Amino acid sequence: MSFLEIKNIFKSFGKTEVLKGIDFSMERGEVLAIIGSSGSGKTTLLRCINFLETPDTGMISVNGNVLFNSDESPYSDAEKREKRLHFGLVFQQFNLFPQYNVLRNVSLAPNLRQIKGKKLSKTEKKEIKKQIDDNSRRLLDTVGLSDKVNNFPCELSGGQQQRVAIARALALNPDILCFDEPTSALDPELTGEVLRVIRELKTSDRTMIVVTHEMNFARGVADKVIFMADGVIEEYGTPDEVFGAPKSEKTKSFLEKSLENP
Amino acid sequence: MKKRILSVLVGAVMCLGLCGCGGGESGSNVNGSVDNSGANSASDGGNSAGGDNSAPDNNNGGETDWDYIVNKGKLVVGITYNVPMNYQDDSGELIGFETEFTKAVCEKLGVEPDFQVIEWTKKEFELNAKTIDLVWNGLTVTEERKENMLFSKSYLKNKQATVVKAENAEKYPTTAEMGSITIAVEGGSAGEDVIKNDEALKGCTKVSMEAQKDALLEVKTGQADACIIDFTMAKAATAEGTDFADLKVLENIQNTDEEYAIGARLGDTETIAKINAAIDELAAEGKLLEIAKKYNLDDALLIGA
Amino acid sequence: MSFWDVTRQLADGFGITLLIFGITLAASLPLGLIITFGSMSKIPPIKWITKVFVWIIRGTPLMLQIILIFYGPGLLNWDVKLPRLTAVLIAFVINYSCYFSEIYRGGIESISKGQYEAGQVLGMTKTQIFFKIVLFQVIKRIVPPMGNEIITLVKDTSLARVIAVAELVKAAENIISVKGIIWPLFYVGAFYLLFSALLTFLLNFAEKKMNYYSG
Repeated sequence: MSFLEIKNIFKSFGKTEVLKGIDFSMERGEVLAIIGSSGSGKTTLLRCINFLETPDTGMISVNGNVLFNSDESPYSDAEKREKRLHFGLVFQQFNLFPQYNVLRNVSLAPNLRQIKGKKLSKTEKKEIKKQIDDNSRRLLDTVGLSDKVNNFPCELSGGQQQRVAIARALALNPDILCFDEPTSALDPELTGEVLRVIRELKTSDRTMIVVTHEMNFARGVADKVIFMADGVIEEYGTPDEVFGAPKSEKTKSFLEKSLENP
Repeated sequence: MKKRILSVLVGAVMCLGLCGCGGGESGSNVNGSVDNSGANSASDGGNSAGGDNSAPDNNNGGETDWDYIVNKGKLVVGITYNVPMNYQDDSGELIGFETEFTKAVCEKLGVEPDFQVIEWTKKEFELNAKTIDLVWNGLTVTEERKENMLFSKSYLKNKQATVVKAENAEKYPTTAEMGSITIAVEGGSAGEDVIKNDEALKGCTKVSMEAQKDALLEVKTGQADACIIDFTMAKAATAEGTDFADLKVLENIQNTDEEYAIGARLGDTETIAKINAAIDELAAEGKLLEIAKKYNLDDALLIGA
Repeated sequence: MSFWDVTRQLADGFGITLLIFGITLAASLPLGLIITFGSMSKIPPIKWITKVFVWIIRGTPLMLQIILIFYGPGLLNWDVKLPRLTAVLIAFVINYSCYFSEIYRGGIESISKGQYEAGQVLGMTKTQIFFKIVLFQVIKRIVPPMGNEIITLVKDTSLARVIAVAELVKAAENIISVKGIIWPLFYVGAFYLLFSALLTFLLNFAEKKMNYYSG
């Protein structure tokens, strides 16, 4: 059994069928790039994996644990909260919390999870807080922002904000880190720093799913590539297979267009 | 007309009542704690009608209005501040002809008077909503008011006075010259009836104000050419040393003589009978004349003079 | 009547004005939030009843509401008698809660969906998302419109006089009735101005305090 198994995911919004039976699997430490034109369903797929949307049918399991199965009764909010923590998500629009400084953006969720509602003595609380703070600083250091911990998001460039968002997603130590077009909202000159951070994360043996329009990035960094069109996986393989020798006509024409207007 | 207003109001109350549960809750919290402070300042001299929330049920129990008043122990009297009827002296104490008269009658009846300042235009509302028990404040008896309240015997003569700027006093020897001017009155007052009943005033523009003092203000500022208000109020308000001293009461225009009485809820015959008896006693004892003299009203007294 | 006598009498009225202002504000701020939750509820009956209620309250004059709450029960022969000031306070609290609820709603709806989703994927509960992430952003956005309403409330307190509650304006009118002097009516303006100046100062201070970040 693979580390991540996705089986038979269907999802409709009203009468529009967005996902029409998605199946794929990933191994631990792999980086998967999902490419495809807008409206092909790749973002919806990522949102289903992160429990922001509920698939109509299908099954999701991580490391042998079934996290979602449409045959089971709907999950409670608390169940969903626990299940989705296997995944981290970095948004296209960063979605940092503007009222908190960079450090607090990263440490807020771990603080809430580890301290709120638990019976702890003052010294225990202090100790946990310190650990979380140290870990958050370390993560900010990995994304190259150790000098910005006390800044507010509005004081940072888009690229820096996205790097904070990555550190924030890492803070809860998810099994699989997902990126939803992480550079699409950035000016071209700022995409490099973000892609570099993602590339560096790969070497630390992270399992990652990256929805992206950056073909060079997908080709250079990903272990596997999925090309999606009209709600189905049109092509799946290694970068060399998908970019070098696409089997499907749709993939070919998409890649041609992408190379014309990168 | 009055019935229609009431039914609209009833509808609206029900509407609020239905939706108002959420708000009502917070209201009842507020209720107990601030009750007294507000009530006191609303009427300074006395206490408010609301102080007593536990008024016994009086809808169906066969209890009369008088029983209701006695059970409360308080007779809530609706007043407005006006000289010389009910007003505050320099120390803030409520004095005046009606104030002392009310106290004397209440002493005979064995109940406590509770003076409640009201907005004069809403006196019928106040009576019907039982927020007051009597209107006792130089209330002129009119046919129209008899439809909405029960009157005691009349005890004081009054007339309506026409007040104009002193420099215009010569312009109006009779009401005939006032046919096309703007006249301010207090809404729902006897002054308003004067305009209605005087053929010569048919063509004038009537402005209905909230209070008699507002009618005076209209004349002083030139917004209205004249106002028609109670003679006693007019005389006191335009006296030397007030801001209205440049106004003049037209002695040559005498509007129909009127009488003051006390107004109660329609049907409250028992209370009125008791009050009438008390007035007779006070007149016989000479007490009424004594009070009237104190406020220069002895000439106007109808009984006990 | 000397300046100080007048000032003393008006100060009594001003006390009532402040009381109406303070209690209305203290009660309406939280109650408004509850009404907001009602009008944004996912349960249709709650949502629509709340919306109709807010529509009625915002669509009718506060003066009428005061009259209705004070005289209504008596005219219907209910065995409830509200003291005058209590009736005024109930009317004001209901009225201002509804206005505040609409400001809250606008503020909450202006927060992007992404903020909620960011909280969700970080495993936060709905309550944590609201109180830790959304609320502060909402507060920052609604301070200017709330400031407007609060300044309006200062002046609306003068409506209490329709049922003869001796607030500031009524206190001045009583002086005209009894003493025949007019200037106190305009002197009350100074009380309102001073008070709203103080509030403006406080509101600006709050606004500045929250301006440490933009957006």
